[in-house]
Amino acid sequence: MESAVKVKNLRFKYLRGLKNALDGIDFEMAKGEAVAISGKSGAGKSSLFLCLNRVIPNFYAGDFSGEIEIFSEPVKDRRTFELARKIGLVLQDFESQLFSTRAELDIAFGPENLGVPRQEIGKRIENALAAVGMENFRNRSPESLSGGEKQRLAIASVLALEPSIILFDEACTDLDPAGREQVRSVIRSLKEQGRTIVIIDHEPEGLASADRVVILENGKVAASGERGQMLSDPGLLQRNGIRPPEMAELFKALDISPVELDPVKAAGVIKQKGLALKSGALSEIRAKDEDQERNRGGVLLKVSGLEHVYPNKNQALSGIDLEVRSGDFLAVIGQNGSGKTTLVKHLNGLLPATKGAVEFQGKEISTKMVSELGREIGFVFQNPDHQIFSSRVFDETAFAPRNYGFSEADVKARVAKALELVELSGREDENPFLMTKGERQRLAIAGVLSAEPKVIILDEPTTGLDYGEQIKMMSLLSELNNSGRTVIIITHTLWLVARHARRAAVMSRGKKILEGSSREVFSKPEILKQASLVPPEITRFGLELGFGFLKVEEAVESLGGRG
Amino acid sequence: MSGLFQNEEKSWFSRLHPTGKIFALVLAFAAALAFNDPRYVLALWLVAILAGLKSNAFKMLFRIKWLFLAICVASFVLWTLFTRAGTPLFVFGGLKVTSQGMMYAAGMSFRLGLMLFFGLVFIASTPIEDLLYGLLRMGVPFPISFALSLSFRLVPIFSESITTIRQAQQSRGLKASGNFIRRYQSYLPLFVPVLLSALRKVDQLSIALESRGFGSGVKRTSWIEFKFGTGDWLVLLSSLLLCAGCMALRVMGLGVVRF
Repeated sequence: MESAVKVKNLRFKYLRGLKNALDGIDFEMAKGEAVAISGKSGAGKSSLFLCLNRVIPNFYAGDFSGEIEIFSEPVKDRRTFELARKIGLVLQDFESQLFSTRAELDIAFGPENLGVPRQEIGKRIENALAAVGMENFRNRSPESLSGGEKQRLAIASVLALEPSIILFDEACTDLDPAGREQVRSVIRSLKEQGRTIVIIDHEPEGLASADRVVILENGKVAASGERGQMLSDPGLLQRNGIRPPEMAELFKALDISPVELDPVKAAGVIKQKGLALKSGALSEIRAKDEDQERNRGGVLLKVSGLEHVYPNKNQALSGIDLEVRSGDFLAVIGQNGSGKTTLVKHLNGLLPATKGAVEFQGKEISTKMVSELGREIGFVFQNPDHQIFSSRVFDETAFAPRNYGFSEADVKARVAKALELVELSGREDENPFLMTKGERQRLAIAGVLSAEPKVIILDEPTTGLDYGEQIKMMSLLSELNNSGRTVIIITHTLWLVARHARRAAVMSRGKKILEGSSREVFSKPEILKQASLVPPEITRFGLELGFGFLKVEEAVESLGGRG
Repeated sequence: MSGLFQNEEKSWFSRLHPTGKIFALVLAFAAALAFNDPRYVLALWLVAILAGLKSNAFKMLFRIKWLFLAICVASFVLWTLFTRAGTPLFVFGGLKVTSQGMMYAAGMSFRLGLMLFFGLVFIASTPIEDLLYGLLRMGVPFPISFALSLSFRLVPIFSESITTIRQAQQSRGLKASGNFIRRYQSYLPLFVPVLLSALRKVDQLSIALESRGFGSGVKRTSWIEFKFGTGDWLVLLSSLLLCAGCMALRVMGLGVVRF
């Protein structure tokens, strides 16, 4: 088989890096193969990628050694643009890959740079649009497209260069579930056409597009194998920051092999094996749910008849009624553009209601300033880098209490408490900009917790984090919730909602179409479908057997496994 | 800002050669600068309205009507107050308003509005890529023309992050009020994240650009293509005649407010 990529003893240390980001990587893939590269944050995935088309060391200085061959040709001393015909790169941030005011012009940009004749550019635009299923988007402005459409356009722009190899660097991370599916389906169809593809992803759905999975750890190849074999090993995946498929976890706990990854087929396997749900275990789960419902606190936030119309006349919300009670852990879910963020921005006064009202502890919040409300209702934005500005962890955390005029002794006490909660105690003098994304995310939360708000709202707190970091983040939120704080999150990660949130509200086209306990919400797949959402695997599996599980442990206990 | 460059509907002007339009715009500016007598400037406004009807400029003007009016009114007030020559209409303390001063201020305000409107006609009918094409045909190097066009693309992205960053800090109790030092201090929590997120964005952009062959040194081709046709000659010659006519009137001493 013809070799597409050959990497030999690749090492790279960033200019101010403490250790090698890549530490002796050997890696090979054949023409037409689709390989997924995965591993924890900081394992070296993106660094390896960027070496393939020489972004490293052309853009990032450091100590580089080792050999890379693309189709048996060494790439040493080549500039990145020289490799554009061979290697196409699709980045996570779709905004920074689109430069034009019309879709076809973005696709034409690469071929124009390489001096491709005009007539040929026309053909390439048509082919690229067809490959990503966007024939009708030719004259659309990229600004008017959804996230998934923008990323598909970015893929089309790369395809127009007709590269032999396409690299997808976490191309789905910033997308909503519908957008992810759109992009993954494009990747699958490119694979079927026999293209050579390399994907970085740490979601099992992303790895499922590949023939082979390579796991990196501390800049080295830790494991490599055929997709099915790798996805069936939950232990290996978990250790390396990859979420294992819930069916793999379930089958492992029940000692059943081979693993069936499709939840519907998996339920069939369970029935065939003669395993049935135990009514005692189900009653226990139901009793816990009822207990939880009974113990909800008093109304803290009340939204009635809320409407919001943006200055561009876009009606983002209509007729929203919502009650958040003290001690709730509420997840607001839905596709991008469904009104989730617009809704929660009304809860701390960041947006004024066009119609309707929002009350906090029985008083309308429209009379208060955002800066005042921040003391009672904290808001953590999606990107921690939109918040962090100090060069010391202590000062960053002290920002809110200082703004609220607390004495320095009070500030110290509040900072210490907030940093302890997010497990950053002892790191007060560190520079936040040198921390990992997961740590910066936790610091951003500490920066809001230090005001000791009653309610904490988080916009997609787990985006861009690996599995281990996601679990850590959600456990932190559960702890905050268990200690009496009301938590509201916006998220696209439904398995996290199932495992941690007590309640969920589903938004679609500016309306709340469903609300209830997480189990009630995920047990209604037909309604979720209207919002292009699919319940987590374990719930789909459970519904086939007659009960909507939220966690693998619940299913294991109900089926009489080890738990 | 880049929203200004969105042209959903193709106008007659938008089909013209961008290089011709750039020259026509320069000539229109020169014609506007010839006069400061409001009556002459208003006559030129008739030409501008005609040009506006052949483009989508009025839609755009409607979108920025308040800004446009504020600029024109501010210009009128300032010129009225600072032009002290002429017959006084009234004097109030240190302020003196003269009839010629008001006439001159009206002329300057109409002229500023006229130049803005000519600019709108150009922007409304020239997508950023067409502008890039026009600049390239005029011999402006590609990296310079592209940087200019990219800056318009980046404005909404940066403005979105500035809004988010402001909201994030407000939610943590930041208030931009108080004395000068307090206000200055309140900008730091905004400035640092804005700067860092811009640097990160630029870093990603440069990788994306070079990965798509930017700076390859190969002679660039273009998917957009314009041919200089009758309409282009018509607009260019009309602009030339208009500019020459205005200059001639000015040389004859007409179109200027006399003190």
